This record gives sequence, structure tokens and C-alpha cells, in this order.
Amino acid sequence: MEHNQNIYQFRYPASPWSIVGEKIPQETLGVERAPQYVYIDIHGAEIAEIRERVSKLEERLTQAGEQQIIPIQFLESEKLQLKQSIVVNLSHSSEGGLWIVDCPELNLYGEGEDENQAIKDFKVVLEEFYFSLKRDKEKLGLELKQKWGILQQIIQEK
Amino acid sequence: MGHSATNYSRKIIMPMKLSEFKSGVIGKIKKKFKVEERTGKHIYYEIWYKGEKIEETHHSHGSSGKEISDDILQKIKRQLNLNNIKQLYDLKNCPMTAEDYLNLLKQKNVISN
Repeated sequence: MEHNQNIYQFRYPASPWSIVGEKIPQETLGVERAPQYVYIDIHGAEIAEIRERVSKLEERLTQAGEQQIIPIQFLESEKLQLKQSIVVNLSHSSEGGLWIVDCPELNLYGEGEDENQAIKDFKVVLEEFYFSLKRDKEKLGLELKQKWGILQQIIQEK
Repeated sequence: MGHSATNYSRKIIMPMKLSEFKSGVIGKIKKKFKVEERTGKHIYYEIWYKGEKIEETHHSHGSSGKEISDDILQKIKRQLNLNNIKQLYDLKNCPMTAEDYLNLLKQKNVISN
């Protein structure tokens, strides 16, 4: 049987990247090379999948790394109200999957499964902190005395 | 005391469970300080020394086996006036004694000498 000498065939590549058709001598073709083509196709699919996953991970990392600074303008409390807004950091914890609201000035944090829960939680923690310090205001150490001073500036009782 | 964070990257830190925090960290602090526990939406720990309330920290409710995430440990570390997460683990384990912690708080003027 006569073969066309100009036929394009795949040759077993040196790397998974060299899978484009190349003109190769007819005598190098062989039945045993067929499984190798399948191997190359799997690599191509795997690389595409890995690229997609890396892209998604990069996106998630960017989101996780972002820390928003947001103002809290009111408390959901029957007893307390804010005199002025409080600025807090809102961030997503990639490890625990939690949203965290942090106020370094008051050394307080709140957490939740989403942003709203974290903000609500922070407000509860803030209220409980206020009444905890108020109850013992005559017995506070240096640091908590300072925090009590800040709380009195930003919070008032209804 | 020479405690350093250099050997404790986030990746090699062993997770800390709520039960370990309570028995290890709070348990150790109790050796030199009075700790009042109160329960609200969360579990709060008020730390007292010589009649003064000096610190307060909290964690959420959960089963004793629940792990505290690294990000929350960072906040707790700050509330306890520790320099780094390693010191939190040192408190839980043996290296940092309650006396060491007391000295640290004195150094940081959290409590007067």
C-alpha cells in the first residue's frame, strides 16, 4: 500500500506544549504511538482546568486580601446610641470562612458568616463591652480606663 | 523572655480548639490572675489583677472541639496584650508561665509594677 509522503501526523512531543501537527517522516509512524496521543490530550485538558482553578483562586485571594473600612452609624440597641459614627475594618477570613469586623481603637471584634452578621455581632460585643466597663468603672486598669474614656465619647445611653 | 514569632508562620501553627483555649490559655492565666467568666452572646473573660480589671477577651459559643480560626486568634492575642501568636501557644503549652505573662503585662504598662 502506498502512503502519501506529505501526510501530517502528530509526533510524540518532547513536552506537552509541542502537540501541534508536524510533518514527520513516514517511517517513524507506528501503531504503538496511539496511546501517547491520548496522554497529550489529557494533559491539555488538565492544564486548562488548572488554569481555570488558579484564576478562581487568584480572584478569591484578592477578595480575601481586601479589607474594607466602613463606618458604623447606629447601634441596634434599646439602651445605647452612637454620638458619632465608628470606623471599623471589615475583612473576610479565608481560613475560617468568617467575616470579621475589627475596631483596633477599642480592641474589639465581631464575627459572622456574612458582612451583616459580622457588623451585628460587633454591635452586640460593643454594647456588652460598654456595660462591662460601666459596671466596674471604678476598678479599671490603665488600658480599660482609656477604652472607657473613648466609649463615653462615642456612645450615650438612651 | 525572648519569645519570637519567627518560627511560627501561619502555615505551621497547630489549630487551637475552644477547650484548649479555655483550659490552656485561660487556665494558665488563672494561676496569677483572677478570671471572671460571663456568658452573653459570646463567652467573655474578664481578667483582674490586684482588684483592677485589666483585660477582657471573648470567643463565640461552640462545642469544645470547635477550632478557633487564626484570624480570631489574632484578635484574642491583641486583647490579651500578647506580642504574637506564638506567645498565645506558649501560654497554652509550657514555655510561657503565668509569671512570664505577668512580667510581660508589666513591661507593657498594662498593669503597674
